[in-house]
Amino acid sequence: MKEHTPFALERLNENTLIIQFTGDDASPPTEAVARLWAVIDQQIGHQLRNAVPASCSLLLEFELEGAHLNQILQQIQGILAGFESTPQEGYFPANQHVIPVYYHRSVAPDLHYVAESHNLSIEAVIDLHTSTTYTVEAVGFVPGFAYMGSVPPTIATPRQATPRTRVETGSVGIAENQTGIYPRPSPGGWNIIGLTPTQVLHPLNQCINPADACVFKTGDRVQFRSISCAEFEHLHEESGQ
Amino acid sequence: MTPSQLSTTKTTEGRAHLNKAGPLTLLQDRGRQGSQILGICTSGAADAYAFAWSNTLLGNQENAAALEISLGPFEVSFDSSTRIALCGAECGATLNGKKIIPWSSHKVKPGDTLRLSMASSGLRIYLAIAGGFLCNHIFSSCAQLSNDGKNLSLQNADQLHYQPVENITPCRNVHWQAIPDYTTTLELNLYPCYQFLHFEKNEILKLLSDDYRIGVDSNRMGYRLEGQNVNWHRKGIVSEGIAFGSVQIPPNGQPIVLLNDRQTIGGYPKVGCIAAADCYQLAQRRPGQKVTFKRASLPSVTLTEGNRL
Repeated sequence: MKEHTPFALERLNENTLIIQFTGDDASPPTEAVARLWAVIDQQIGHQLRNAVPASCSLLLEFELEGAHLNQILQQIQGILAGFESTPQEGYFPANQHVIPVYYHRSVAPDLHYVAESHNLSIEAVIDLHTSTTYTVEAVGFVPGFAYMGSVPPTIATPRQATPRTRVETGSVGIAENQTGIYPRPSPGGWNIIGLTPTQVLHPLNQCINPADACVFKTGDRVQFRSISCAEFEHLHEESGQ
Repeated sequence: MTPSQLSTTKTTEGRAHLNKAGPLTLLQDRGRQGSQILGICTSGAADAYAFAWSNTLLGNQENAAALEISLGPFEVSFDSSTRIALCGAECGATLNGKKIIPWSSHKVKPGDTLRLSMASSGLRIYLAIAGGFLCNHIFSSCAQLSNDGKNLSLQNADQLHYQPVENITPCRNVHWQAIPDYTTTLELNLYPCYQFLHFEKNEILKLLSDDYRIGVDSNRMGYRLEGQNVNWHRKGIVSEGIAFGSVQIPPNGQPIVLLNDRQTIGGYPKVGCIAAADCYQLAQRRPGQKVTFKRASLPSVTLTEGNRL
């Protein structure tokens, strides 16, 4: 038995709640957040208007106000009370992704900078980036952008002082101890170390269920795999981008 | 955006031709469902109060698609008979050159033209039509979305579609007591939450005692307020979901009230949330107008230990 409640429930406004998990910077409780979100979605998802699972918190916005909120609060308290006894592993399995990446200066303007600033070879940066399994800690900033943690401290790199006005679709970047993939061309300050042919966000106007639009969801596990130029071109053609 | 994206045309449908679309005119309803998990804002009518009245006046469903017209000027012609309702900002509306009463519904005949001048008080005008404008939905909302997740603004010469009605329903209007005055200093009811307790008391007192002026960079994403700095003395917070009406305190100490088009997650501390009804009123205010903050409590619900488990 734990000595303290691992989460706090707070009401933010007329129809929004946030559940905060305790955790520390080194190991954010993202998997517990994702697991709780899966349980809540399954049991009361139809009463939800929006949910935002992030690394340490789960925001829930409801369609209903006033009297109905009491009922929803009771349901959530019930879910929270039973949450610690739900199976920790395998009950709501996170998706596992392997993302092919072409690591080369022709498509990755900051690959050399990241290597140089850590006194590493390009090969060492690639090895370090591909040898870690990352957890999706949150999705946001631009549609479908997944914040993944944590990169090995030896390649963690601060954001660029001046963000680029355009970063290409599929660019794989590092900012501090997180890594991520740009789903669409956008301005951005992450250090770009590679390019993936994988399409991470589907056309929004063709999506019926928002959750299906993005390849990643909070709590998913991601591994990167280094590919050659030829393989990149082959996969890129296949993905039809 | 081409008109074909707005709806599939049938010959029986009425068409509204936007002769002058204005600087920012959006198809809106109560917003997208479930899109925040992708990092896409909810969108929806910025002033949900005026939006709701515009549909109510016509007996429409509460989520019927209406136009949110910011500032004006704006001009639209209708090729089939229908009824329309206008609520929100005061904009000197005329139908075929004749002045029409705001916050009321009106009959429209084929060939009629509605003109709105630049708004004289308030910012956003809601134009609803009987049955709602016909359009495609993305994530259960009519709010049109570009591929990078931004709202698409209507352009000159765009056409909107509607189901014509030959109606005998009398025109209706909103009781004068229910019509807001957008020229007054707005009091924002602040629910203490998020990092409220982690701000030093002195900083909270500054926020609650000073007048704030609405900054020029205010928009549907957020309203930037200018006044005494509210300082945050701790280190950064872990990024978390941002609720409607959150009052974010960036490093310069000038509060930002986050509205419909806000980013879904963020790492700046937040001093609390503004009551939804006040957010709707805020969205009708203009740069330079004043607001004040007042500490408020949420309507009571059963929660243990003063809102915390």
